[in-house]
Amino acid sequence: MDFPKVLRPGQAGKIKVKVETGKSPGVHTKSVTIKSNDPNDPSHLVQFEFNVKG
Amino acid sequence: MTLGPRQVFPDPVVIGGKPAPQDGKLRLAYFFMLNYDAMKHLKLKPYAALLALVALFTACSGSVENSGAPNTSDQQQANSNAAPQPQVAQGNPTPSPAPLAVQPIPPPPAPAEKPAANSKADVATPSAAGNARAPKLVAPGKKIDYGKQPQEKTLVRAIVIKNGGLANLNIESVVPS
Repeated sequence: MDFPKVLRPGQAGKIKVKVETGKSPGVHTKSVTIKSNDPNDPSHLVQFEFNVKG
Repeated sequence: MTLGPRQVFPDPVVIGGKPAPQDGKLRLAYFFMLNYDAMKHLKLKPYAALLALVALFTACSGSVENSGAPNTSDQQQANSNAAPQPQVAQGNPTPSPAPLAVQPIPPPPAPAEKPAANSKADVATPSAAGNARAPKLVAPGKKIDYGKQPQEKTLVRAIVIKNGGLANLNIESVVPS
């Protein structure tokens, strides 16, 4: 995953995420935890949900 | 013409049907008593009535100082509203009671506590300011729906994050779980 190391105030960035769908059909959930120096949210969890066709 | 005891009470004085004692002192004491029989005999009724009226008037009139005081009492009432100097001018040596003056309330000992409160506020303010200056991670919702996907496919997506704070946001790590 590529992510910016430092974001200045007001600056935006992109985090590239690669997810393997796999072989098993059905609904799957993957998650990514973003750890930063935000005092209110030092560990932000982002979930990805997808449905694999059979 | 003067009336003396001997002239008023001729011997023998009869009181209640009994002769009064012949002693001079006792006779003098009996002089001040209202011997109705003796007065009736000597026709002293008007004098007795007058004496009784004088005694009654004297008893009811009271002292001369109090009887002549209406003007002075008015002056005292008038002076009671004034400063205490008129009382001194009247020569009243008795100490007057303490005037009912509103005494200033001493300041409460709160100033010792106020600095503590201020110190707390000072302590809280920097933290609040620190929070205001702290970085803020603005990320999309916790759950992102990618919909239907084929099997064995690699999805490459980008998550847009933003620093909504006033300090630099340091991304320490992005860990898949």
